[in-house]
Amino acid sequence: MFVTSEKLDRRELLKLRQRAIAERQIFITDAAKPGAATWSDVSTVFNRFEAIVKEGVNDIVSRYRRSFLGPLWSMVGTIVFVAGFMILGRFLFKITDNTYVVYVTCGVVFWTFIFSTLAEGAGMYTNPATASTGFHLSFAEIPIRMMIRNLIVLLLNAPIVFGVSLFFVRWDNWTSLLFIPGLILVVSVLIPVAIVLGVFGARLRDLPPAVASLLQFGFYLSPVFWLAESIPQGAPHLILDLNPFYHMLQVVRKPFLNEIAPLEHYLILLGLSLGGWTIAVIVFARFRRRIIYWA
Amino acid sequence: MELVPRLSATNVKVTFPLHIAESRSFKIKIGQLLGAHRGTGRKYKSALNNISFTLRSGDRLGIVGANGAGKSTLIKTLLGTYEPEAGRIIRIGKVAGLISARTGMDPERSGYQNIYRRGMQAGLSRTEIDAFVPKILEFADLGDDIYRAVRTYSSGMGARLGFAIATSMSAQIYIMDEWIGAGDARFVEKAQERIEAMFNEEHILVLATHVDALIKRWCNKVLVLHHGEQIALTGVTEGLDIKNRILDNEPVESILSDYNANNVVPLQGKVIGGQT
Repeated sequence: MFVTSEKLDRRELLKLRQRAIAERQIFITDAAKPGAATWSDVSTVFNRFEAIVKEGVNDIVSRYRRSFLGPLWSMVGTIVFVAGFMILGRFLFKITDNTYVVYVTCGVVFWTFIFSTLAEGAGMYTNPATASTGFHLSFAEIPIRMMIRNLIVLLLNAPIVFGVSLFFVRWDNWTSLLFIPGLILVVSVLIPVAIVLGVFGARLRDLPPAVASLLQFGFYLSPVFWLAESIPQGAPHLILDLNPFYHMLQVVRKPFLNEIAPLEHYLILLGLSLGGWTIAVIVFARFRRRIIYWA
Repeated sequence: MELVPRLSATNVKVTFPLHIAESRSFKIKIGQLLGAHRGTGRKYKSALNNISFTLRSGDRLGIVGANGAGKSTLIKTLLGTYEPEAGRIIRIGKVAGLISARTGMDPERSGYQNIYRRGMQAGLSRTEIDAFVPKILEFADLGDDIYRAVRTYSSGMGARLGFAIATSMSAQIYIMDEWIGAGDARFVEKAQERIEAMFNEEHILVLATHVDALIKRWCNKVLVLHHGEQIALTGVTEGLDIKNRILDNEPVESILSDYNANNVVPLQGKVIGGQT
């Protein structure tokens, strides 16, 4: 099969074969081995990771093509929203605490991230354009690319979050760096949920708009701009305890207020992540082959 | 690393679900759960059935058949877009797929940027793509328009660029759908010259087209499809004859029995019949 001058031993041959698969020089699809097909789909994420990141960047650049501010528009959106809420908070709700600025800014930025990840996720397999690249398709690439797109938007908003946080809250210890594990945990919950929503969203075309509406509902039930502390303990507190968005917001926002989020939030998110990945793997393996016909 | 190219399909079967349009909405789904839409069940359309062939270095296969015979489905299955329901496809060697002119292009980006985009999709590095760019620019012949968004291109311009990109990245297996036969006469002529120059004895070509002249010029084998079934895998003259007789509404059985009776031995000793 290989044209080489010298003889190769088994291991070298195996290595060559693996590289050829990564470079898309060997392509095998066998209906009798569905597991192998799923694995080859997933493995492209590792083999082409760099290219996927570039494609994610391209997506963002394309989205704001021919606009003057370009991707900075997402920053403008955040500033406008926060400014509006500050006016509302100061004059209507009489909130004078400056950390509230940080609270709302982080709330809005991270809520937008959660919202757009799930809303885009639900529709990510419905775009037929993804079906016509002329190459072996990878359905595992699509959610990763979607997440990269949203992380880039989040990164564009980072100057506001850090600016506001450093201005109003004193960072005199390492507590604030806890936003890193918090964000990793949130991402690890969002990806599997987006995969499940995406697969079913391709089949059931009512799902993407339904998800968007439900998320709107979730926005009001989650402490994005209102204070979680204002909910009394007891039965009403279930609104927060049973709300996954609350736990997500806590682990990424608390650090910017230089506070430590209670361990329970981390544990709940870890549980959601493990459960989510289990379901996502089952759904993906089961329906992956059919997505192309639904798209 | 150069591999010896090979492309084989073994008993490939592809079915399209037909139940999609009607039961996509919640309303009907819920209705079904409540028993209102009982008995609709799942319907599938067989798009390809029992497709088997092996292509090696130098084989140039033309896929022919009437509209809806499964040509494009087979092309997409060979490229890996559709996964077969049953059967196996093994593809060894670098592949270039030309499904449509603007395959994989981002209309908002310039032609120039799309060259890199396509290259990355094919798994090439930036420096590897750099090497191809002059060749692509020369063939596409777009002048300064290459820096304009692809969205603004005429279909001819898009076709030239897409074709130039796809044929510049040296591949060993070229899989093309029929769009190549479109475009103005000058482009078609230029494209044909390029494909001929690009080919060498080791390459594999798979081409789906309605244009008999293209098959005669480029192919040395013909696969005749009819309603997703592989009717014959044979030589060019015989294959085109079988296809044209099917287009003339002659029953498939009579064409095949004709061939078998006359003991024609076009390819490897046999005409492969339909349902075997």
